[in-house]
Amino acid sequence: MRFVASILVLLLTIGAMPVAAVENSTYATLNKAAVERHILPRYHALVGATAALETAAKAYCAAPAVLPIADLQSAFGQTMDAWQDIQHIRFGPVDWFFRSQRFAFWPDPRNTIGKQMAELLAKHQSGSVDPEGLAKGSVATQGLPALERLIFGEEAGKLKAGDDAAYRCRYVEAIAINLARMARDTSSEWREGDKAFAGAMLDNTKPDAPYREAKEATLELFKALYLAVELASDHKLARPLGASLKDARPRLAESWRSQRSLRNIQRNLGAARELYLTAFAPAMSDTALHAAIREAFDKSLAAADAVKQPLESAVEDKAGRLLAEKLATEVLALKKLLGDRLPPALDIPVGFNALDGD
Amino acid sequence: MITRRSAIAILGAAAVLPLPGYGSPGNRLYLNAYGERGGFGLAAFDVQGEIRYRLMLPGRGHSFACHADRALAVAFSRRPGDYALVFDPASGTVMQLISAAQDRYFCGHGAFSADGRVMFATEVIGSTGDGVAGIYDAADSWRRIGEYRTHGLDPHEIRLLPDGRTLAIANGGILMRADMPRLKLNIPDMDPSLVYLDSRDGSMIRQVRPERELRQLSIRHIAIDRYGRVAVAMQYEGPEQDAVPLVALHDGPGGSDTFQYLPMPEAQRVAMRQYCGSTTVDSTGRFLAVSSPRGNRVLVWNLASESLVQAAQARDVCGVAAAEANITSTAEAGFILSSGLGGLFRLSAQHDMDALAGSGSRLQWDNHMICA
Repeated sequence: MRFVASILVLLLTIGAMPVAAVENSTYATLNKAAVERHILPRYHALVGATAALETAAKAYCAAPAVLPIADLQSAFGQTMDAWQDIQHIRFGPVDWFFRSQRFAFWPDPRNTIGKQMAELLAKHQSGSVDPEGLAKGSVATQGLPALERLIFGEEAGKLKAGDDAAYRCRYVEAIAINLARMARDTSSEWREGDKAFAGAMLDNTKPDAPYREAKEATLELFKALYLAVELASDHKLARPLGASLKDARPRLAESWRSQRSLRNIQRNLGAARELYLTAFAPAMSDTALHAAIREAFDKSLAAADAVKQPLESAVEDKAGRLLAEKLATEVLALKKLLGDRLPPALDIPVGFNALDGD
Repeated sequence: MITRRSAIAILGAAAVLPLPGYGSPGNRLYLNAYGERGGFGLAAFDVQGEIRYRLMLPGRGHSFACHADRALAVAFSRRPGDYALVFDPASGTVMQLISAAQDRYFCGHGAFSADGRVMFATEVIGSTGDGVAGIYDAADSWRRIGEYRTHGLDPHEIRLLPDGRTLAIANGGILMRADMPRLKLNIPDMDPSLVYLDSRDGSMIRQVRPERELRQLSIRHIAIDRYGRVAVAMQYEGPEQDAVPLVALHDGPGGSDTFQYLPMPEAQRVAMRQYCGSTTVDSTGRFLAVSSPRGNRVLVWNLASESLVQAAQARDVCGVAAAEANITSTAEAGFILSSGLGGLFRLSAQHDMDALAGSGSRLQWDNHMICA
């Protein structure tokens, strides 16, 4: 019966489908809203969070033996929130100098982070660790996942006592300082000066404009929207879930050490929803599709809230796993809706083949 | 499942939709599935890119099996697929809608036996993810008369070798579950392989796997050259920055247990974005084309010298078929290509991605094209 329904719908829609003529000004408005109300505020928030992280790292490392680490962990959490809120933007200044990978190298199936951190920590007697050296070194050792390893779990105790305690604390500070610099640089390169990326993205008339027409910039924004959802389902959920309860891999979750892998997904979905509502929704003439997308976002976020325990434990728990699988199913449905329906509705030239391969 | 009523609805739709044919006889047609504003279909077009007919499909299509002598073609639904549509590739007349068997899902590809009496379709078992080749009887209303194990998960392209007996099947090696469509659940433990089966009884002749450190190369597409060698085009599921080969040759069912990876200049390898979308050998059997819609390019190798001879670009290019042999210059038959942005192109030594005259359509061409 499903087929009958879909065929009838197809026949009806082919007869009645308006040719979606989307004005250039619609794309321009969409792009402006995305840049000014989504991207710039989120980079601004990242600047604030990383500055606070730098302060917290320095405060803690002033007396690591006696101070509780909770404030530093909390500052890490707020920075991770801010990063998860904007990690779907992979173009512009964050793409320069490998910043995106340097902020958060993930996934890391071969434990590159662990191996290279071990090398770096082994030099605690002879070497030095500073933000400049870190920034020029491996992308794997300078980001939030490296910091997470230093300040959560058993490793955190090594900041307080031991041969390399002082060295570790300098490493923690160096990561925080470097992250704060990268956030400031990214944000200012979006906002400031003649070459500000925000201006370049929105003004398609200059000969060296990164997007030759407004529609191309909209395509880039669509890819970011889709990526936020795709990363959540295909990587952040699929990896720890595995095929069944016995195949669950909690340590393939994004942030299992800090037990915030589910929260990352919630932030990602929330960010995608906001990008859609702020920028894309006002351009939608197909109100039924708009309602369907909004509902799919709401269902995904509700499914995430319903998991109610860390993803790391949910995937290995019979009841929790069902809820995590339900979340994956909802996010997959959202991804399919965005991938199949949004580009034709807005006449965005999305690669039909590249987007979801086979 | 497909009901009788829905089959009638599709047949009815097919009767209404084909555009009037104005063909010059003798010209081969090219088949490609498409998407159009949220709907799906397949189209047949000539070498000029003029569309001869279109058929509506009940869901997104993928690739085709074709038996030119018997005037039979089958369009397969994209995985996890629930239909296959049998039609006459010359006229576009729909003959049968096959619905997927209980707990089986089409994977998008199929192949006919040499005599055209049976058709093999790659399928997965929904409850386990295991691969099978479903066997369909052309003489008995396309009844499913059995299945062969493919000895791997996620079987994808299947082709009959020139011996007329051996089936080559690409097992992608990825575990997926029917209730979480297309979600890849075993990336750390993938086990891709190229398998040769005897088409008469399904017995396995040989299974070839990549080396252990390359087990995240999903073997998905197959082409066969004039020497009976099998080319595989792969997709890498590991980290973006890994330097891995993406195209390999295997010397056939009687050959070795290893792949021979085709050389690719580093700049081209990086530009392919770890992803091959489709592959075919030209009508001379001497040139291999591999497309990458993510890399917006198609690479061509000379299979005699095993050297890369051409790299051409088009956005979201994926569908690639051998161009019909041109009697006056068989050496340069080349390829016809399609893109998800509506482009149709000709690529050969003389034609560097020339857009076909009739390619101004707004159809989003899907992954695969064949010359019927």
